[in-house]
Parts: sequence; C-alpha cells; structure tokens
Amino acid sequence: MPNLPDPILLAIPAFIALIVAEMIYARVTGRAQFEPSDTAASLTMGLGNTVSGLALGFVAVAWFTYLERFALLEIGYVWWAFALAFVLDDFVYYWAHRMAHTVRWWWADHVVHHSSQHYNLSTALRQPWLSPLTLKFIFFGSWLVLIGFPPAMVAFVGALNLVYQFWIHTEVVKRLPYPVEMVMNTPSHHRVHHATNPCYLDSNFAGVFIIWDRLFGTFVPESATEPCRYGIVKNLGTHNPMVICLHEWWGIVKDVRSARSPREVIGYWLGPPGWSPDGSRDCSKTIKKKWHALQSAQPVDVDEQSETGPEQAAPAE
Amino acid sequence: MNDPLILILVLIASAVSITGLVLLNRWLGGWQPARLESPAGAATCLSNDIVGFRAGETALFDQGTGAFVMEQGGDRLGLVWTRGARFVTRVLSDGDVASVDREGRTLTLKLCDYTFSRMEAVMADEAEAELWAERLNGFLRAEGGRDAQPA
Repeated sequence: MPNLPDPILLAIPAFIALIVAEMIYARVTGRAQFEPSDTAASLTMGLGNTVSGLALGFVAVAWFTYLERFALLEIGYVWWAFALAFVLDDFVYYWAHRMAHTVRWWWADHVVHHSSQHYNLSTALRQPWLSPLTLKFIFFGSWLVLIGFPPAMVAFVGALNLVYQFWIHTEVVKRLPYPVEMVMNTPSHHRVHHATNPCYLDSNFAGVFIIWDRLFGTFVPESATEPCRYGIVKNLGTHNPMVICLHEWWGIVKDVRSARSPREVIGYWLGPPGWSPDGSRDCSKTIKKKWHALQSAQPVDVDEQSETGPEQAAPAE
Repeated sequence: MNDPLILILVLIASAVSITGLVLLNRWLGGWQPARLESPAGAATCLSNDIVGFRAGETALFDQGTGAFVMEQGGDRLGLVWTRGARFVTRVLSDGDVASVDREGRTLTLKLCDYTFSRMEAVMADEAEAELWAERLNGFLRAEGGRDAQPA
C-alpha cells in the first residue's frame, strides 16, 4: 500500500495564503467582504473540525477497516482506480450533501457550514465538530469500500474533493468560461447553494462536478437580477462557536422532548429541517411554495426592491 | 498526522494563523456596521427573510441599529437587528418573548430563542419605548410555556 499524503494538511499553507490574498483584494476592490468576528468564528470552527476529526475519526477508521473484508472486488492502487474513485466519490458526495440538507439529523451538523452571512474563503473552513457522530460515513462512505476501493484511496480522493471545494467559496470570481460552468462546480454555482433567497434554496449540491445537479434536477443558475443573500433561513444572533456548533442539535433535543407520538419524534429527528407536526414552521419546500405563490400573485421587481434595501454589506472606502 | 509532535505543531501553527488572519482582517477593515436608514430598509429585510411578511407600522432604533415592525393586517411583530455588517431578523408570535424591561427609552428584550436570546433597543423617545414595550408584552410566554425553536 502506498503511503498517501494528506491533501488537506498539504493544502493548509495555500488556504492561508489565499485567504490573505482575498482579504487584501477585498479591501482594495470592495468585491468581497470579511468581518473580523465572522472570520474568527469560521476559522475557529475549522480548527475545531480538525481537532474533532482527530478525536472522533477513529470511529470511521474502525468502521472502514471492518468493512473492507466484505469488499466485492480487489482494486489496487492503479491510476485509473484513483480517477474512478474520485468521480464515484463525488457522486456519493452529491447525495450525502443533498441528504445533509433534507434530513434534520444531518442538517444539524451541516448547518454549521452555512451559518455565516458572509461568503468568502474563510467560510469554506467553517466546518462542524461532530460529523463522525452523525454516522453519515456509514450510509454514504461505505459504498466505495464495499465495491473494492481501498479505504485509504477513498479517504484520499475524499480529501481532494474537499480541497477542490475551498476555492469556490468566493465572490471574487464571477463566471468562468462556459464549458467549465457546464461541468464543474464553480464559485457562481456554489454561491447559489449558500444563498437563502427562496428561489435558490436546496440547489447545487455538487462537490466537484455540477453535472450531478444537472442530472438530478437540482441545478439552479445564479441570476444577475437575484443577488445571493447568504446564511441560513433563520440566521444566528451570535458568533459564539458553541452556539454555531450545537444550536440545531439543541433544537432537535427540545423538539423531541416535546413530541407527543413516535411519528412526531421521527419527524423532528429525520424529517426535513423546519418540519413540525402542525406545519406551523417553514421548511424549504413550503418557503419556496409561498414564494412562488407570491410571485405569481404579485410580481416583484427585484432591482427596484434592492434599491430601497437597507445599508448592508457596504464595504468601507 | 500520526506523529504527535507534528500534530501539536500543526495545531499551534493553526491557532497562530487564525489569530494572525483575524488581526489582519481588523487592520485592513473593509466593512461597516449595518445600519437601517429607513422603515423601507427594515421592511425589505423582513420580506427577504420571511416570505409574505408585509410591513406595517415601523419604529427604527436609535442609530438605525434595528427596528420593530408590526405586520400589516397580521398578529406578528417583526424584529430586525444588526449583527456586524449584516442584519438578523425574527418574527415574533404569541409566546416568543420571555421578558420586556423598559428603562427610559431603552427596551431590553429577552426572547425564547437560544440563537438570539437578548437584545437592547434604544427608541426615539420614552413614549415610543412605552408603546412598543406594551406591544411586546402581548407576545410574552405564559408560565411554563414552550420555547421558540430555530428551524
């Protein structure tokens, strides 16, 4: 077995250099924005994610070591296997990511990454602390190992996938050439994914290749007339990392405690984020439905609306 | 990362890098605290975040740091609050407020929402503060009532 390097560890200096470059570029051009308290929160979440990965990662390692013996094929460390594993891993990533937005148990973990109202390279590092405990790796990480790809190869291509996703968290890069936008996940596509505008909710789940969204009907292009508003549907009133990390978990605990039947327990736990037994809360689907109903009843001129909007996100001169 | 020494060095370097990046961010600036200039701004914030919310009577806080907005023809109260360069909004329904205290023209509001639990609003004058305190009292949680949940 070759001694595969850790792509994320190797990329850390580049991450830091690119964040510094984007910060300076943002200051000079005003085309992006960094806010110290938000940056601090994002980077602290990133560091916590690394620490928790080291502390809790053994759960996943143990699982894949156990699973390897049931593999259907014996695929060696050959170049085409790396390439195939990279593409298949990205396919699995698409579904895992989609489920992370539609199942509250996994959303409670993933919401951390979406909790910033800014969108810059530091947002890429705003990552959850408790991911291994959600057992998502069992449901989504097992497939490639069961096919026969070595766990170390799967971990390696998975890390490459995450490294790729770093640079797309930026407002600095507008649109790339058409063929790239057609095939690859780009800053434009991923801005849409991070936006809370109703028309953008639950779209563009891709990691590296946007083709999965195009294939499975979740692709939404960025519109010049609908600027992205970042964050979550109910933005947090704090930059406290503990609240960022735990708020949705705490929400699940409180809701499950208030449940009056097993159906309600399941709904609060595994239903879509925002699910409630009486429908009094809004989940993405209902928000989109309400928004579409409103649009057809009373068309809104987005340009006109943004002109009367609040003084938000204005970079200092 | 199997070598504990490398691990410790990576963690220390990460902590130093984070501190450095945040200090650089502070030094460079490039952002301004969000401010509401008009009731229309508050209405836009709320209609953006809460689909279908139609703003009615609005009171901006001193310095434009936020606003209370009654819903037109509805029984909800919209809240806009600045958090750095951005705004956070909430729409309050019956039982969403834990307590309201008024001291002169300052209102201290505690919400049954652990992601946005407390805020202070300095109103234009005491009469306005009293009026909105009264309205907010209408959303007080009953003893032993539920907590608002984030979604």
